[in-house]
Amino acid sequence: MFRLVLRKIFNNKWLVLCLLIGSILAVAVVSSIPMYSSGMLQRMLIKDFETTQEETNIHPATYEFISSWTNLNVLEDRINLFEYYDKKIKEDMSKKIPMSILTDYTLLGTSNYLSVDVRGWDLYLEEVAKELMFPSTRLNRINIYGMTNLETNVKVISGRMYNKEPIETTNPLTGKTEFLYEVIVSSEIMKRNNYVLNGEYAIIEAKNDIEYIDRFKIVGVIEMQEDKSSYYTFDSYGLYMDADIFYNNFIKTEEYSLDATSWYYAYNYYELLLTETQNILTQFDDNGKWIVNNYGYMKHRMSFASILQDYMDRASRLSGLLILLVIPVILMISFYVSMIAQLIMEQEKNEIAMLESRGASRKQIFKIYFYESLFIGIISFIIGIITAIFLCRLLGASNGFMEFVNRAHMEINLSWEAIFYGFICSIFFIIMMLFPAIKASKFTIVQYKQGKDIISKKPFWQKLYLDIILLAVSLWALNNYNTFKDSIGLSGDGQIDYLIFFAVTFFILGLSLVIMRIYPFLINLLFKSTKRFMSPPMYAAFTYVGRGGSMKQFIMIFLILALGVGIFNANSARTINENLVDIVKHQFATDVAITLSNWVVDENNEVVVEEGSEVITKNLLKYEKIKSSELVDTATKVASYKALIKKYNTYGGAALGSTIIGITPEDYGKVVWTRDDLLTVHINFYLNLMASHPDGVIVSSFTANELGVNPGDFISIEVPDIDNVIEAPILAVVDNWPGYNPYTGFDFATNRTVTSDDVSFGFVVMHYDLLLSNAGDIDYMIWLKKNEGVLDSEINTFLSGNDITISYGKYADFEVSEQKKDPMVLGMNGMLTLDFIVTMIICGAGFIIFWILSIRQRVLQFGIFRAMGLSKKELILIIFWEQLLISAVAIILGIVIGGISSDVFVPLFELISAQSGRLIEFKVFSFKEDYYRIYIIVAAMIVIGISIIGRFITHIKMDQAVKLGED
Amino acid sequence: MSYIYETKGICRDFIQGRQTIHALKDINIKIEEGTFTILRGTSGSGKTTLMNILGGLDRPTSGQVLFDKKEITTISDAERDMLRRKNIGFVFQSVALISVMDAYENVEFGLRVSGALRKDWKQLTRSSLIKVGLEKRMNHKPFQLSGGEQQRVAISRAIANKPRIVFADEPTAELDTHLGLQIVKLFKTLVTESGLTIVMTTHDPSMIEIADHVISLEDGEVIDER
Repeated sequence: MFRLVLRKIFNNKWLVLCLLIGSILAVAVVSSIPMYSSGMLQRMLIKDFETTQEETNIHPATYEFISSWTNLNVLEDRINLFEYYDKKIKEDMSKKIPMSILTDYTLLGTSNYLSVDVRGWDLYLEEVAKELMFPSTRLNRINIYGMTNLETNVKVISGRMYNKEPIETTNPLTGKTEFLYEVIVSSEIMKRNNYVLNGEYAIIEAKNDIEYIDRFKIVGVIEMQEDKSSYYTFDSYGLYMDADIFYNNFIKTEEYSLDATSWYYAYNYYELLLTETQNILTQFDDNGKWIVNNYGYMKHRMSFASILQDYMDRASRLSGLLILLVIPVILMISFYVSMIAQLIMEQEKNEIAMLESRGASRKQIFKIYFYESLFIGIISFIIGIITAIFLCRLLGASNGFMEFVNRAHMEINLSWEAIFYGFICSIFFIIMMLFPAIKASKFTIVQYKQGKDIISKKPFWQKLYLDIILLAVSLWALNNYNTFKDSIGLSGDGQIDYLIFFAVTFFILGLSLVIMRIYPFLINLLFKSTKRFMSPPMYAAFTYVGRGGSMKQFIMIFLILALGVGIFNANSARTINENLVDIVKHQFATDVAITLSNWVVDENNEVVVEEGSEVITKNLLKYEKIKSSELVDTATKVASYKALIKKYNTYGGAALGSTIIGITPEDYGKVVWTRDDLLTVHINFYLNLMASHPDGVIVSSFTANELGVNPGDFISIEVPDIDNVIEAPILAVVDNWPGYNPYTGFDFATNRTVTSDDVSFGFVVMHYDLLLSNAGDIDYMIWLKKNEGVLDSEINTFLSGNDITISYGKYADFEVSEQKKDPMVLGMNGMLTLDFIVTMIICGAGFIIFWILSIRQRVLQFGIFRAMGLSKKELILIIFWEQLLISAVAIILGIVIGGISSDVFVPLFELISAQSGRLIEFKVFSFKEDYYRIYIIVAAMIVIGISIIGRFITHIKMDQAVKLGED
Repeated sequence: MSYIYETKGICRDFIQGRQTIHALKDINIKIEEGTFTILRGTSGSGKTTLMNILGGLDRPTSGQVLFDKKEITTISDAERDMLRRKNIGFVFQSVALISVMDAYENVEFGLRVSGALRKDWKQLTRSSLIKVGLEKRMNHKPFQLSGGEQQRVAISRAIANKPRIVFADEPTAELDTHLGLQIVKLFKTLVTESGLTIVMTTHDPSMIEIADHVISLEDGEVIDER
């Protein structure tokens, strides 16, 4: 049986190869989803850890256990329980975290004691004896600690490290030979407690009686080693002695009471694998349970538990998104695979019929195909998984749609999840490959003989009206979505009906099927009306194309689907990216907005706030400097205040809190960023209006509605801190303005706030000079448009280089690049890029293989044509016409349908990318480059296809071709 | 006597791997216009090769083929295409109809290819289908016709543009004896009534009686001619 299967595979090696390419790519794409999303999040996770550490200088991956023993009255119990916990933590709990330990410590602490300089001991006793309320001898509170690993993490800045062994010396106080314990301290406590290096201090306990306990000698002053400061800390107000001595001589002897213990572990988060998150969280929970079940005298805190939880949620959200994005491609590939499988079946009809005639049962024939599919399935599973790793690398380097950067290597790990995904996918494709075999196993030799050339009956999808159903479902879903969109008012985080993402594919497929239902009619109509005048090649091509044949429809549907999906992918990516950028740009309204600060650093290195007219002049000079900088295209002053707006001449009427914006229209027009569709007419229209009527204002429709005013009416504007009430006529009412957010109002740093009614989000735009003339002095921001290619960092360097300090700065480009680093955006771009590439590969492979086979199957027919006297040129003309009627039409339809489905369905992405509601209209973008790419690929495909076919035809030996028909 | 075909020392070698197969060895035959000739021989005797060379589908390794006393082995492909279009019709062993076209269209397509005048298409198609007795089934697709009917459509297509000669390569091989005989009788009628020249290959001895001229081939050589 296996030899038969292998022989069969070998006989159809090219087709099987095509089949393999398709299913390998499918498995690869699908199983790359979990690998990619975890790989990307892995990178993000590490980066997040790094950033946190940089910003806070606190190590973000720590695990701490803290015990407070004060509720246990018997010291012995404390010690026993400590040892019990200590063992469990050190041997088990801390080791369960799959990262290496950078450092750890166990800190044992006593309660607070008093310390006194040994030399003052007598004096102190004397003073106590005199019952002085406040002895003059200085007493200091101090904690005594034994802390492990102190030696390796701190540096001694004066003196030396303590000895491991206590020294026996004569106690000058008692005259006995006793231990003198060496301790080290921080410079802070040296200062606070007036300690001196090499000084000896007595610890006293003043409970009922003054009791002298021990003698310490401060042998060293320490501070943290800088590179370790982020993950190792010590209490600056403690005496530190060797941890072992402390435990054995002080704690175990119950001389001091053990009050608190902490165990601290800092892990190397670079070794943290996202795949381990669930494991870590489970361990953490288990540890918690253990603690509860074991007396509960301990708390534990993992600094990164919430981050891990967050990342797990993000990973599943990201995988969800990526799966949605991949659905159309998988559908397309399954179409491709079943097409190839059917082609193989056509090639083997002969053989099947022969096997049947020799008594093979349908079951046996099915078995042969089952083994073949299984074989292909297993191979594509294995190679697919390997390919997935490469694809992930490729994805890891993608920055935007079809943009690749040289980025740090991405950690890709083969996970069980990926293998599972790949496995499911291979099973799906094995079933896809088997479908035609089920049909074929019903095939008999009689049918074969009778019906080798049978024009296929109506395809199943036509009989089932699948095209209409698919289209209806997709439109129903679209309608649902639109109602959904309205109902949630785009508040952002509504649950998305995932059916909608199938809908795109359904739409493309349904539409292409409907067209395929109509297309033969059109061809036949054209044929009937013009056949008298058709040349023989045209005649042959038209009859070939027009008269059914499921394979021809198959290739057309396939091409439409592939190109439609490709274009949809490209447009989706572009739209999401562009809107993302546009939203940021709209929010920022300009490249860079800064507020000059009044702070100056004086000679003593102290910050002082300058005030008065001098500052105004100084700042104006700075402004001029910025404006004339080579980096800057234009700069303008923009003032923004919160103000109270009233309808003019009404007393007690409604007053509305709105933002007023003072602009200089000429410069503002050059600096501001607006998208064409923001306003009904171009913003320049309003700016020109204001330039010619500097006394008038432009009012938001919200404000105008609330106050019941119209253009031509007057409003009064009351700005706190400005004495004059500004009265101005309304020039125009607009719905939107650059930088305006209908949900939060303006995001600019408004200079002063108004308190009475701050919730409403209207705005009033007025001339800067109007505001200035009423106020005398106003605060402003400097908005600037950078010259082409200038980086934000260059602007900053320029500012600091010219001693221009700013108190506020907003950088649009920086924000854009931050937004683009969002894993959802990166993932979407990566996946859509991958989809696009895979789609194009499959599209090309499908196209070429279909045509080669369709020609090869018709070798006999071409031979007959030649025998009848058709020249080679005419044969090529037949192919040309067939290509035109099948491929060219399908390609054009694919591109058109791709465009339509983009227009209809791409707006759905507004839901996933919606951040804080709709700031600006979500606009569908398409890039010419993507279309060019598609055209180039299609052109290459056709050229390769035609040249192969052409070669094939010119090499047809007529006599042999004719003979081929003979059995 | 006017000979439509005359061959002079035709040899045809096929190279198969390292071996050279001599499919035809020094064939010298003449075919008289308006006769029914049978090329007879077992499979591998070279009869199909000879026919392909006569019909301009293949070229001999050496030797000459004269059609109407004109040498045709050295003329260009385009000229050979033209020759086939105007003067030669083919009927093949396996039914070589275009599956997507019905009987009428198949015949008409042949006329289109041959370059017959558009105004004559209808009349020529009908008359040639009538000649083969298929006027009632001309709107049937090939798969709706029986094997014999299909072969008659093929014959109709071959004769529609009134060629001077029709080559039929084992046209009866896939038919039963009765139907095969009908086809051969049809050929004979066409020869006698329309003055057509027909060359047919067969390995079936029962057909021989009907032929005017029988050339027997064996191992690429003419072993008998009568």
